[in-house]
Amino acid sequence: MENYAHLKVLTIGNHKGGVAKTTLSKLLTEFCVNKGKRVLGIDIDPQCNFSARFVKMEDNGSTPPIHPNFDPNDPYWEELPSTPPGYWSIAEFFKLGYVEPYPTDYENLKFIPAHKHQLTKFLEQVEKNSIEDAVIGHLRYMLSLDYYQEEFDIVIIDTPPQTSALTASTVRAATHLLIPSEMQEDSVAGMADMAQLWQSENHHRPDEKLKLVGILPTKLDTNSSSQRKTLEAIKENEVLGGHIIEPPMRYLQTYANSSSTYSNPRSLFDVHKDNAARVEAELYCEVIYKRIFDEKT
Amino acid sequence: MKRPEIVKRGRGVQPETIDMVAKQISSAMNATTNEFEIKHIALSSINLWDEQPRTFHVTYNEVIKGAVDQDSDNVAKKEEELEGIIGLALSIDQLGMLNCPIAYALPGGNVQVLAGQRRMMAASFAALYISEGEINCSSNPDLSTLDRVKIKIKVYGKRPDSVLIEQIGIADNTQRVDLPVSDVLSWLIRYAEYKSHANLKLSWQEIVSNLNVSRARAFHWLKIINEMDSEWVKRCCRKVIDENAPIKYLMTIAAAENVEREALYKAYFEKSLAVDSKISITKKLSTSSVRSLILANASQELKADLSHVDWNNSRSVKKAFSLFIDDWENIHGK
Repeated sequence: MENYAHLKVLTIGNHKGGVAKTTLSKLLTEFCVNKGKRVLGIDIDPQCNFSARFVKMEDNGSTPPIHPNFDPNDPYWEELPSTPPGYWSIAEFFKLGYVEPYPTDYENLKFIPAHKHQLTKFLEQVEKNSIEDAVIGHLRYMLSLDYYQEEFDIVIIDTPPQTSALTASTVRAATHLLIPSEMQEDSVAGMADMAQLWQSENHHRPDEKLKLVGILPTKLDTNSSSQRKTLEAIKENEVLGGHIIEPPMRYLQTYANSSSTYSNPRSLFDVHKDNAARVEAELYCEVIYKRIFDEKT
Repeated sequence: MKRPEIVKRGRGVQPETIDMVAKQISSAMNATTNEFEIKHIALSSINLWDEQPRTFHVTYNEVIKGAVDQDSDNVAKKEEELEGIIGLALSIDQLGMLNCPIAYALPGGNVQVLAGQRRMMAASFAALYISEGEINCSSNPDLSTLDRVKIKIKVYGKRPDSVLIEQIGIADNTQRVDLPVSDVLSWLIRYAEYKSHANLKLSWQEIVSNLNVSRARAFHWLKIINEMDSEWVKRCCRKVIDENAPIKYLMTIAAAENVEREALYKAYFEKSLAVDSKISITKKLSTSSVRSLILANASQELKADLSHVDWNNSRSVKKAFSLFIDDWENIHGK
């Protein structure tokens, strides 16, 4: 398995949908960018919501735009198995072996978007031809290339809520794993599936194990006694307690507002500094950031 | 007025769910390479192994349908296999699966079977069609049952290396008495190739432990593998694998001198040994090859009688051959 020099790769995953994986991916990307880190965002989720935050997507947000640097006559493309379409998405990397990250409004952030149809189609082909084993190592191989090792400090990957070869490839590529979970039965059970993938991944790693950054309780309704009770029970659990990240992400309208494609301001970190969502987001993002970069909390 | 009772359940996430997650996270944190664990896997998440040592004619789809495709090849063999699988399914329904299949984890949650393919097929049949010991076949089975019914499987966290995969596959099968010799031979050739790619030599000890055979038998098998460079040994292997030719022929050819193999092969496969007794020994077969043929196949009693034969004299050899034919026919029939 390829080793990374210094690059940190964070995969955010939970097999249950709607647990704020994409919201958290956006927030952590913005937080790391604001901290001055050179960040690469990768969206593996065909819903493309993470992509839409940083790249001006087309076709109702399902297709990336033509890359600003794309030159159809570039002789470089002759080395690819087929001519690239002009846009780049993570699906092109899996299919052609090449992808060019997009520049964003942030100087120190580049982004590899998803492509709804291409990703879905690719996944179907992988399953149909049973080539999961072959696909799983691709992303790690890509990130081990000199370009990625030299140009970035951290890669943040948003995953779809499903078990697939692509999700497994993000886990193989990762140095760190972050599991967001609602305090509800299905989400908590979804953590077990993610942990199973994590365990299976660690079976492959004789040396550098995949690290769990932690479990972030998300969309916590503090008025719900059952959710509070669940959080307490998890905190008291001998194994899980130490992994809970605090403060939790509460169920606040500001998150939903700042997550929408046309939100203004675009980033939660640009709303008023006393806004409750911003305050707690800065706190848990700081905890996650420090755990990834091994800084003392 | 009568009212329904309130079902009382704990508030929030069930404690069992939290325990289950904690256990899984603990396992993940402590995971090391080359490990396996016992897991409950849905039947629909288990991939079959196409290259497994036991040759199956019946397909998984036919098992799922509960009927053999009558337009396909090997219908009789398929039906026999399906009957066996149904018998096993009844036993699984009654007693559960006594030994769990072995598999390794694939990305995405599926597992790849290494051993126990037949049991897995039988478990699928049992899940779809057997209830309380009764078989109720339907032309339109509820396939979502295969998503719900889980069986216990020993799952390796990662794909074991090729040599270990082959060992697991054959060990699981040789614990049974009915593995056809053609399958054993196919496996042995493949296993020796994997060993050879890893620059390792196959040993008789491995054959004893993997095939569960005596040392004497293991040496015979080893001889075959070591003589695979010979065209005639190779051809004879194909005869055993493809046409169920007696393994004894192959062992004799492998044990013979290289110059004698062609004649032995032709005697076994291109002529009917028992019928063609008008064979001209001096013209068609060398006396030394006939000697090998006779001594390899003769009974102990006949061997004692032949101890004084002059093997360089064609007349004497012809006589011995005639005695051998009588002896052969006495034992095996005409």
